[in-house]
Amino acid sequence: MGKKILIIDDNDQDRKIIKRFLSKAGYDEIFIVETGEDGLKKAESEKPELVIIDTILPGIDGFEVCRQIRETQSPSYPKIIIITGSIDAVDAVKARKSGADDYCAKTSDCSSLLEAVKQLFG
Amino acid sequence: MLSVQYFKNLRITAKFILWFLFIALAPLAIAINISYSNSRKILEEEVKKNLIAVTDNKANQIETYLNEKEKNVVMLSSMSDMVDIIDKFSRAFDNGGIDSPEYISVLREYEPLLTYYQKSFGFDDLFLIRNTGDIIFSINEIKDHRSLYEIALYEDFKLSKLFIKTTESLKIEISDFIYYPKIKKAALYITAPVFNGSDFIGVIGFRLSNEGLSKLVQNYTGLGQTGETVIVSKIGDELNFVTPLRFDPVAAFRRKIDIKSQEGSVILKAFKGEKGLDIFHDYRGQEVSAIWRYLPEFRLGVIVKMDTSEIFSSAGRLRKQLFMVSLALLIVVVIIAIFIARSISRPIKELTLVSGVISNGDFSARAKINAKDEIGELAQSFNQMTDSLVEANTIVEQKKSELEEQKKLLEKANHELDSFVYTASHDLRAPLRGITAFASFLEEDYKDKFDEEGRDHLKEISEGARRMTELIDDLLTLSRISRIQNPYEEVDINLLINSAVKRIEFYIKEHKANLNIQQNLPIIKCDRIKMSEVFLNLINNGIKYASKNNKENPKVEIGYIEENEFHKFHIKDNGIGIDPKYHKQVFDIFRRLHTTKEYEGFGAGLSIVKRVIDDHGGEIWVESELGKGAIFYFTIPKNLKVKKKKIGAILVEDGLITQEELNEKLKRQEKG
Repeated sequence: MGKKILIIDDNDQDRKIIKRFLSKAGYDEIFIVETGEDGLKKAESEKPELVIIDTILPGIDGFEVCRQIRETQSPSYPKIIIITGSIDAVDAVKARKSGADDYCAKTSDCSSLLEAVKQLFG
Repeated sequence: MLSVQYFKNLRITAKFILWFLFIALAPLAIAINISYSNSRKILEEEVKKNLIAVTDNKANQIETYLNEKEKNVVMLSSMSDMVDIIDKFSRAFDNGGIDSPEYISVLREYEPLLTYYQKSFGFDDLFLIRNTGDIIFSINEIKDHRSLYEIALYEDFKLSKLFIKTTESLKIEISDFIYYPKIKKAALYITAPVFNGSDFIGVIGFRLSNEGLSKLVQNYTGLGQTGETVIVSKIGDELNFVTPLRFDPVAAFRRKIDIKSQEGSVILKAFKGEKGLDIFHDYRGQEVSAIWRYLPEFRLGVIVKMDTSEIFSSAGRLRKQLFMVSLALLIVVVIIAIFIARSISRPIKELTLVSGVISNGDFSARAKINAKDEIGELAQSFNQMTDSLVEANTIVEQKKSELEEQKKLLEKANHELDSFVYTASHDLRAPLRGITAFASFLEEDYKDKFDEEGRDHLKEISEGARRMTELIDDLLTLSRISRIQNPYEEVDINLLINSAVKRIEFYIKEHKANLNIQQNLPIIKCDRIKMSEVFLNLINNGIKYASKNNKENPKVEIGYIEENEFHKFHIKDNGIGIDPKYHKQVFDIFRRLHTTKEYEGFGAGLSIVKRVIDDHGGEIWVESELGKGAIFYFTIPKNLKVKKKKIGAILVEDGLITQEELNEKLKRQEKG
């Protein structure tokens, strides 16, 4: 489908899982970084169409990364989804406030994430 | 009732005065009355006796006086010379009348002697009358020279009447008093017959004025200031005072007595010969007490009277004295009442004041009452109470500051717990996610490379990971539910269930469950979010068990009844049922954590539900038999008490400390 997707997540297993499901869903141009700082650089250099950010990251956290991407780039590009391993409802509100397009919990089958990606790319 | 209320509302002083007056007045009034009436009676007796004595004395004096006069007359009439004298006067009278030299010579011879008798016996006049009725001698001038017989025919002349009476009776006679305007005197006549041998030759007569009696009467000894002796004559129906009155010196035969007046009727009684005592209004209009006598010989009434006011003046004085004494007594009583009431109310006021000061927060105030009576005891125990209060207050303050400190500590712990939960939720779930995902990848990619046993192991890994995820999620939900206290609010249970059902719509459809919810559920006061959790879990639970019953589609029914002080709900399912021996355990999550497949699938839901119901002060239980479905009942009190969960209990529930450790800590706090 030729969409560039950037994943920012410090959890090795989660990165692998998400990458596998996205690949299976047909998204083959996937960039993966572990820290927010690297993520910001990659977002600048590769201009991906979708950035998937974990909430808890070493250094600057996921919400801050989201806010900075929104500040440096346009309000509608790239699409941003914040994912979380926690079940805290507060995160959803924080995600919206920091400019994310969607927010979903991490699951082992990535069903909600795939659903969200599908929706964003219409 | 109003007056009773009024009495109740009186101050103590006023009450005491009223009571004391009431208690003092009644006996006082009775004592005064008795002593007054007694003394009056005694006085009355005394006065009566005195009056009777005076009356008897006066009546005696009068009788004696008149008898004396009679005796004088009798003595003169029986003098041997008297026959001679009458004879000589009679002859001279016949021989030339009273102007003849013969008469004058007789007059010269005897006049001095007769005048001597007249004067020495105290008579006004002396008459010699011969048996023919001619007055042959009189000391005063004779104006009428007719015979007394002749005069008696035409005139009411007392002397002629009395003369005739004497000639008939041949005894001494005495006339009534009458008034002589000419001499301006009242007087009576006394006549006595004169005999020569046995021949009646004439009469010697005297006129006696009332002056002698007046002197008797005017002696007021024993009659006080108002007492007097009154002598009354009665001629026909005419009553006359014979002597002057004490308060009217010219009353004799001039002051009229009305026979119909009180005085008149008393006098009439006397003339009837009665003896007696009467109280009436006399000629002055004064009330008098009177004793009367009748002197039949002289046809005179004697009345001795005295003003009642004088008689009872000493009784009146006594009454005045008694009144003054009682007045003084009443004043003393009032003063005593005030004194006693003050002695009671003052310490009470002091206590009221002190308790007011204390209730305003000044615990140093103490009642200063040294009395050893009940009030003193009250004050003492009041002070003791205050001491205990101060002590208790100090302890409370101390505990309060301790609690403040603990609260801070616990808030910190709570905060730490929150971040622990967050981290745990994040960190525990991440590796589990990995296990699940990679197991599924293995299954997908290497299915063919595993033998049957390998594939089974893989499946067990997935299954274990799934259950662990579920358990962690449940634990987190449970700890979150316990820690968060939402305010109680009015919640429409109809709307609450509707929104809960919407949240699990997918799940309901998936199991083709049939939900039957009673209409018109109540609006109750509760924690909205937690109560929503309760219905969600119970419905979920019902569907879960019902879906294990393969015979029919799951059916879950929600009902309500009002039961006394409680709202009672029930959720009924047509599931596989629960063995009664597990009815208590189904709500117990820790127990469940240690169980094997038997309990699998109960979920932490029921534990969450029980904790919410407990927090509301309600109860939850289940009625069920194996294979016959289950009904979960729970109650919520109508009057919710805001109950803050003890933080210690939360720590134990969340497994941060054990119950033993908590008890140990609490004990140490109590000692400190």
